[in-house]
Amino acid sequence: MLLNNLRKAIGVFIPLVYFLGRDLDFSIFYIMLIIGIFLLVLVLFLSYSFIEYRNFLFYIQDGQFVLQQGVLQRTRLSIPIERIQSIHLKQNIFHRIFNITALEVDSAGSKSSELEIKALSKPYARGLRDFLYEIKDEILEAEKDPEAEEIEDVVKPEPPKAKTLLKLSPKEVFLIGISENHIKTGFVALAVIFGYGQQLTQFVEDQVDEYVAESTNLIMQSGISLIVTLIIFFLLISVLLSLIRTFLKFFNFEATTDSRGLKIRSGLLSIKEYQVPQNKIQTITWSSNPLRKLLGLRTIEIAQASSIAMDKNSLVEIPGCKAESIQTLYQDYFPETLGEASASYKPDLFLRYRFILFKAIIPSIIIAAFGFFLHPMIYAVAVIWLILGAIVSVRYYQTFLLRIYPEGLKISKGWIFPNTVDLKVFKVQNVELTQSIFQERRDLATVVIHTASGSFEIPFLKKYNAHTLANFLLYKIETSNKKWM
Amino acid sequence: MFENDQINDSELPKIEELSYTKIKKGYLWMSLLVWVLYAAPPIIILAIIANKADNFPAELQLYLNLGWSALMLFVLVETILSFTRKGYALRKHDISYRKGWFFRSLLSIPFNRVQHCEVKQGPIESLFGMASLKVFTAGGSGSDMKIPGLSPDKAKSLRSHITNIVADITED
Repeated sequence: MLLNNLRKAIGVFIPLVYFLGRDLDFSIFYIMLIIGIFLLVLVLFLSYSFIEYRNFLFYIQDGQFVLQQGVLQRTRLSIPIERIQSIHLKQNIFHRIFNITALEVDSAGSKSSELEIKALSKPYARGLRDFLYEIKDEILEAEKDPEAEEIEDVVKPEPPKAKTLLKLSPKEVFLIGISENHIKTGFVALAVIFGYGQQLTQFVEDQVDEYVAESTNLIMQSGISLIVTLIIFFLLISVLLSLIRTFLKFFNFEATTDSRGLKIRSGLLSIKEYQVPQNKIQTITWSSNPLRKLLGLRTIEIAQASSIAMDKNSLVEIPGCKAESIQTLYQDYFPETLGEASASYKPDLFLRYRFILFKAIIPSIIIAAFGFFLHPMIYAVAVIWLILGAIVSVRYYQTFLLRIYPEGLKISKGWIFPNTVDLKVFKVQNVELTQSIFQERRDLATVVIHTASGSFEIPFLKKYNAHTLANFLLYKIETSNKKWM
Repeated sequence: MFENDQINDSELPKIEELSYTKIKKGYLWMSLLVWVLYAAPPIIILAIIANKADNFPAELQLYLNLGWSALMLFVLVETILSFTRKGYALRKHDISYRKGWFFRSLLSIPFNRVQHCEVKQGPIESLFGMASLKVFTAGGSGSDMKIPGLSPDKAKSLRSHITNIVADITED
């Protein structure tokens, strides 16, 4: 709290000093004045902080968690404890120096019903979190009537016991970092650099015009070798950035699971400790890439329901999962899609021809057109593209698969970058059937499944299958009385 | 007692057998007006620019006009042909809306997933005495349902029908 204000105060003070000292000779008078203002600001700031600290108050009353704060405009925020969804602890680098932590309370409802306490001692924050959860459990226990309990027993899977799901050693974090999709990282970095760059360019341009002319000449001369160097440089930087990012984000990563849901703790400089309640989980996705396949690692993404749009809190990433931990995770959170599928659908062959047309034939015609105008060598590129594009299209098409379980769906696709989404039928929000007029002629339809954490497409099914799937989903949703969140 | 008997695919209620309530005829006239309001300005603006600028190539103007006309012709065909396909269907537990000719779509929303619904009447709609019904779920903005071309009374009665059902579900 104090630190926070100090930062604000310095922010005010520096421009002030700058403003006063701009074009003045530093006579005694002005120095005195500045010191005077400094002292005044300091006193104001200290008393403001003190009042803010005094006014900041949180307590539990009548089953509500109440937070009061504010100096000039005082606010009072209260959340019914039984509606608390999850409690997160966050430490940035300042927090870590003073061994304190921020506590965030997430409730079922809109953004405005979230509550944050900026600084608590760590043991106290943990104690408060556990205490709030205990009260919540007690309230919910008391509210349950015997009839509901009976249903609960049938519907609910066994509550997961507390156990460690995944713990990453620095070596594993390194492996995850090295097997990132570097090209993606590189492009993200480039975008950021260009973002900053635009501000810099203006400044630099005036100074280096002649050098630019000179170096452009150099580029023209050295041609290909320079491009190769640049690409290697780009890749090296990308790998380095991926590594740094991975270490910052996933150092000391630990995922545990207990009756309240998934608990995740990770971070190098700032540490986050957050909770994913089971009922908020909408979908689980695992994905991989060629390098990770070799290492036997997969990334799991858990998407939670979000009321407005996808925000960063609603997507939880568990990197570097081995097969066993994935198995445990599915047993605890997605028993619906384990075991034998009751049916499975593949897209119609027409989709394969479409892929070949759009990924192989049309691009290679465009490339060949360039060849016609520029250089006959480009024809070779067109041929290579045609062959590779056709292979990728065929393999990509083969990987599409929808598995249907009594209570769940599993959607898989991707050859080089495989990706599988699992969803629970009762969490589906609505179902859409789409058809282009070409699909209609071939009696095909695409099913789009909308959930609270994104939409999923199952393309080019036989119309009969698409209808059966939609009918099945609607029937399941409409007869289910489980809460999707 | 909780029952969960398995049922066969052939016994499921079928959305392919829905009978749709068509939307009002006036909607077609309204969309044609909207089409004119969209299609005309670029051609007019281009003509003015070409007129004012001395050396504006006539060929470029022709190609731009042709391209835009082709696009707008497609939109016109889609508007007219899709009109007869637009329609909604109510069942006991869900509402469906069918639309589109070139890109067809059928969206079904179960009532126990409805977040809220509202009746909307824009300026052009009120000129033609029409309103639209919007049904929202938590499935993201792309999956919200908008049924246009309803009479305001019809839209309101549909809304209260849905809100009543939703209220009943939440009470249980």
